[in-house]
Amino acid sequence: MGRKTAKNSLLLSATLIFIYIIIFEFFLPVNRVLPKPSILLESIPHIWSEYNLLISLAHTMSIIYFAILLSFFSTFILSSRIFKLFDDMLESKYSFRFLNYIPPFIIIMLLSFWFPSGIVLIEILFIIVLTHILIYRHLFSNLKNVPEEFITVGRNLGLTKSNIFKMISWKCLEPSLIKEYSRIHYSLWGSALLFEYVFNAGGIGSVFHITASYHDFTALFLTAFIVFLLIWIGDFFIRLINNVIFGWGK
Amino acid sequence: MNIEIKNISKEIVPATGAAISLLKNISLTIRQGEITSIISPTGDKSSTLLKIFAQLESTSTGEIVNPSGKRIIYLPSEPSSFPWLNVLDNVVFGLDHYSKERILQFISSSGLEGYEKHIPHNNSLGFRFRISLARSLAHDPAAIVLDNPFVMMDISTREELYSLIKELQQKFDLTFVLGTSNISESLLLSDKIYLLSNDPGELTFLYENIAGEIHRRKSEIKNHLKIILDKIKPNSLSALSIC
Repeated sequence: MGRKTAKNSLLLSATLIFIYIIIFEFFLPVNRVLPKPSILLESIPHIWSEYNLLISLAHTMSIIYFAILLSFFSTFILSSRIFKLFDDMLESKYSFRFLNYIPPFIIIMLLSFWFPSGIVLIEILFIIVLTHILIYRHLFSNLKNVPEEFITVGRNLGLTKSNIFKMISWKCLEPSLIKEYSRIHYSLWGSALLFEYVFNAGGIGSVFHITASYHDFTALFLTAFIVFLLIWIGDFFIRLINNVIFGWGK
Repeated sequence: MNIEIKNISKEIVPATGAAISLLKNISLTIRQGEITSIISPTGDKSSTLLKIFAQLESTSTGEIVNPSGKRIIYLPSEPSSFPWLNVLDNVVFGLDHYSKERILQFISSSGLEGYEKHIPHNNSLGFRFRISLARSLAHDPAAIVLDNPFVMMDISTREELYSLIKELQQKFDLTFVLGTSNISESLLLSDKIYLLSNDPGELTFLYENIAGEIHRRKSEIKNHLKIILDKIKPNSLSALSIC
């Protein structure tokens, strides 16, 4: 994201917040669309304690970011084996296309039947497996984009297949991998929230479940706003890492 | 030491149909310290042949005798310096042991002095080619195979690099094999010129630069090459660039 785009985005957000404050504070203080801004502010401490927001945030965020880090390091550490696997399976990658048509929601619903007493371990496993599937799928489709001349140089200099993957293919894939993390980051948040909402066993999704059942619209709106901010900050950091460390990939 | 290429043939067998002969009975001697050019109307067959020289592709028959046992370095037409490594790391890429002093000498000889820590992701093709050349030197090669490396470069960059290749050849007694579709380039650089015909892929010896013969008779040879190429394949000159 360019500096100008970021500035425009911030300006647009600030304008929307300003319009929201003006309309719902002064013109429509009582309505069924959005809560009054001053009530939102007053509710922050109450929501924080009543809904155990800090623990819930820590729960959801630690699962999401742990899964992201784990998938990055596991793909790197297992790279040579993965490469071999890719080599063998590249021809049959289209067999896995059916995975594109299974929304995470279906899996979550199935899991809720298989494990009716929803436990944190299932959520951790679900998010880790989902992250790995999304990342490997990306690697699958992008391995063919590694410039042939780089591979030729590696072979010509006597590198082994696994070293070619580690020293060349992996490096070529890194920038697009980080961009992919920025994309799947959003999906992971969505899936984690959905999982927690369905299981109602901790995490921000669980907070949404409780606020919805209490019809506490102010808490729901405020939690949604916090989640929006967290996704935005997470995305910002992923883009920052991409720009600082993998700037050559532009 | 000279490199002998003996009776190389290459056939490919498509999934449906009979075997297709790509290269037929190719023999030549690549002499130490010389630049040998292989002119080809189309790049595909010469690329295959050059990759065979560098042992990146297999042959159906024949052998390559490389008595020095040193590596034959292949430089593709696309830039092959790695955009995530700085110049120094690019040059030592693939080496387990090296003398830094010697590496810096190669970097300097390739015109990259002062750029050791520079990351070349946004640099010109010429700059990236210099890095690939320095890396080739660092590997102490038996020969450097250049596969149409100047095809995407502008004329002034090409001229700079022609001079650089000549300089390096003399300074380090380097052996080059140049695959090209550019007659002028081959006349300017070569000690020996071969022609790789299109169908079947056979190699014909054309000229040797004895006592500067190629440079003296440049325009005559250029016309002769035109005639030969017209005979090999009608309109083949459209595939060749004559600057």
